Amino acid sequence: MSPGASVFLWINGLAGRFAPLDYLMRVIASDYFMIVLMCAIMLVMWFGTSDLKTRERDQKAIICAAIGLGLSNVWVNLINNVYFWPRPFDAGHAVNLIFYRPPDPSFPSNTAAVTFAIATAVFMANRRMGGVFYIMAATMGFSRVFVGVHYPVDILGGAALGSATSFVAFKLFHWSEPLPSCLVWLGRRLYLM
Amino acid sequence: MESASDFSLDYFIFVLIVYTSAIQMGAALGGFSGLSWFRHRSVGFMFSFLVAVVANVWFFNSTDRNVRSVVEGSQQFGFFVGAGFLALVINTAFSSLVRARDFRQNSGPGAAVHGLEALRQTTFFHAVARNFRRK
Repeated sequence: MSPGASVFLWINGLAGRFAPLDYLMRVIASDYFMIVLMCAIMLVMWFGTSDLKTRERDQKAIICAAIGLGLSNVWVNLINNVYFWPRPFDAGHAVNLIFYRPPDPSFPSNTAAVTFAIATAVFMANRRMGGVFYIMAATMGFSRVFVGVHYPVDILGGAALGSATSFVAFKLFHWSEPLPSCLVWLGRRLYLM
Repeated sequence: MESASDFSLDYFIFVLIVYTSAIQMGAALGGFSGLSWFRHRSVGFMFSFLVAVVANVWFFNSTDRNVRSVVEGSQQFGFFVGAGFLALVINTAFSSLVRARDFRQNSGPGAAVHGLEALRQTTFFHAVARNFRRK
């Protein structure tokens, strides 16, 4: 049995019992909901802070989140090319599948890598909003297990990968002065920052 | 079943509407009157919130969105960037047009204010025009 398979079976066993919960989990686990919502909240943060210093700090974190998101995707694709870990429904488990069958490997979870990359970059600059993003990322991770497309270990692997990538991106970004200041200068000239 | 191009168009429109409302919400919260479509911040906030909710309800309820490989990852990224850029253009252009009269007295040459701070007192088009006049 794959690592975390018993936890997977317990969480996935909750599916199919209560239709409204199934519907909610299908929306949250969707490829289109949580990431669009996170990006929309980052846009609100970008424009929505009246204090200049706080806004500039948040905007730099959002740039780091974008870098972390892109790099996490690259790492996941590289790992997927080296190793193919089958999805739970392809591994012979009795899965309550209430989602479509993704054809790509199970480990690490791409969505977890991306959402935790965003959450970590925001958390490094803004603890309160970062906490909100972590809750959103964890909820999406849980929903992916609930609907039957990931083992918990896939989510943990993706979360670790995304978080580490964004942590390094955040540190490198701030060590690479004057590049961030040049970006801010350009953004201000274009009335964007 | 919906075709890939229909789905892609729906997705692009969905992201565009959500991003446009997010920018309007940000403008309302940050007090950037020149970027907002409305004179009152509370109206701008409520409008953008409602539009975002309606967009989500429409996108996720009009048809089953959990279908295999309809919008690939790279396509999705392209839609993200494209819709984000277009949302920014729509916001700056529309707010500059509908709020032009409100900020007419601020459109002349004045003290140099750069960045988003300029959009507290004037629209995007006015701010750019003022910059050119100064040069």
